[in-house]
Amino acid sequence: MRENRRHVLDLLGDGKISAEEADKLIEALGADTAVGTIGAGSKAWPKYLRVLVEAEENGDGELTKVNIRVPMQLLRAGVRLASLIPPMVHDQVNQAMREQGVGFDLAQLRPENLEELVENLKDLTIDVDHPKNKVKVRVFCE
Amino acid sequence: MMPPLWADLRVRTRRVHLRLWLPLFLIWILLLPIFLLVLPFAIVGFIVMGVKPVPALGAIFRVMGSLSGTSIEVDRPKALVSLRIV
Repeated sequence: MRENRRHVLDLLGDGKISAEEADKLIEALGADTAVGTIGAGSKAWPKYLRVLVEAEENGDGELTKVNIRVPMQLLRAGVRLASLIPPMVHDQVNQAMREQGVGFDLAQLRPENLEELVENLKDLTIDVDHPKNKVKVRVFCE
Repeated sequence: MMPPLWADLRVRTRRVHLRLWLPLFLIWILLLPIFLLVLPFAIVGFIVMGVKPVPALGAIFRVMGSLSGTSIEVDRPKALVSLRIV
């Protein structure tokens, strides 16, 4: 990596490439390194969003279990589809969601924010344990 | 990206043990002529709504193609229902 950077600087020093080209090359080298680091060391990309619910309905100790597995690619496709919702519908959807207690602006859901959203989901784990109603909800990515 | 071809439906109660492999590809084949008939109206509808038709259709196909791997299972003390899209 360091050798490549030095080589680019040498080319710049010799006047074989312009400063702008050198900047682009160094930036590309940095991106390659970042991709390599993600592939080699960090946690793998999650494939599924899992929702697990355990609830005791009648108080007799018998549990009802719900197990949902949603592929991340479906989430991606869904966000992409949602980003195509026409602006005139945004207000109605936002209003309906606000009435349900979800303060979310649909206009903020754009394809360019998609990878950031999915990347943040990677570390998502939500555990809800309600001892009074004996309900456990777990949302995580795997 | 291929749309899902099979769905695995399982129902288990005290009396019934059922497992069905539903051939979704047959449904797609049956829906294809309907889709082609509806397509011009859909395109007009998208244009009227101010949505670009090509990205919208692409996004719809992407959603259909991404359904593979979806799994829903509800396990109650007396019954189990499971649907897995393959």
